[in-house]
Amino acid sequence: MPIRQAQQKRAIHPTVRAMPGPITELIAAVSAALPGIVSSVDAPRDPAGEWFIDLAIGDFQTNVAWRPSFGFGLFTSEEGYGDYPNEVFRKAELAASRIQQLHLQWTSSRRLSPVWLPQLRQLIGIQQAEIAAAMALNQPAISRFENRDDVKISTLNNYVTAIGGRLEMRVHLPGLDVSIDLPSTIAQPT
Amino acid sequence: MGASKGERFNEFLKRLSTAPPAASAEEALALVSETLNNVEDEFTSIPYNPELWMDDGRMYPPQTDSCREDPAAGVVRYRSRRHYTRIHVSGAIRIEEVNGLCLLDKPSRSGQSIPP
Repeated sequence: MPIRQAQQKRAIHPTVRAMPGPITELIAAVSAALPGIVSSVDAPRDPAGEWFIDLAIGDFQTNVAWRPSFGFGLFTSEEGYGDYPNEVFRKAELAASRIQQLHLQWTSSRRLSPVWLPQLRQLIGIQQAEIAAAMALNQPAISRFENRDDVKISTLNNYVTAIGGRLEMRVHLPGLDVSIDLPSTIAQPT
Repeated sequence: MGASKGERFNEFLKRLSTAPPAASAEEALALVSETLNNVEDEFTSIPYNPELWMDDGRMYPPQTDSCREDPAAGVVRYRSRRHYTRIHVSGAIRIEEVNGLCLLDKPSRSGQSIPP
């Protein structure tokens, strides 16, 4: 059964719930950016629970989760069962911008992949020149760095710091789950 | 290299389909949760932390706040990214993709099934 038919079938719903404001904002923002997109809202029994917004335009489909206490969750990681989102956006406007990026990526490559530096920078509206100034580099160096297939962790850490973020690295092994850090970034005792 | 999510999901469906049937909705939900958590504990080293609500590589069973009404009488539906897990008061379980494709149809102990 095509996804839209299945969702329309589910839409026969005994309880009509008021749509939370952030979901209305997301649908409005996505519809403005991608005219013709079809949205379907799957409401939980408890309005404080997990909502889903299913979006489709052409052969592009994506599912957005929303929880009042977290925001919008997008999925671009490996698909399984009971997945949690790998991208969380507090504001509808940012989530809509990311959905627009995903649609563009799907249109050009028929695949969806997690955020990398150019998309991240575009989402928060920072220019390469601003990052270059913060890292004491020039703009072409930032452009080259963003387009490398492999990067130095220290440079990545500096880049993320320059855009106002914090880089996290974690290792999962049987019996342990730890955050790791570069020795040079660990504060030395005075 | 550990098993992929797809491989673990198939293992979960295999174990769930061969497990003794449930006799109530509570038993059915517990069976789904226990079976998935056992697979994830066995095949990954990722700690169980459903409060995080951020992908950590682990698959999580239906949570109570993802429960929804279902058009079928006596059925509650749990939504996740790409799946519905539907559970009947009798203990029957049906897992479907959101496009309607049925992946598991497990009757209750009394033999009742959930309609598509």
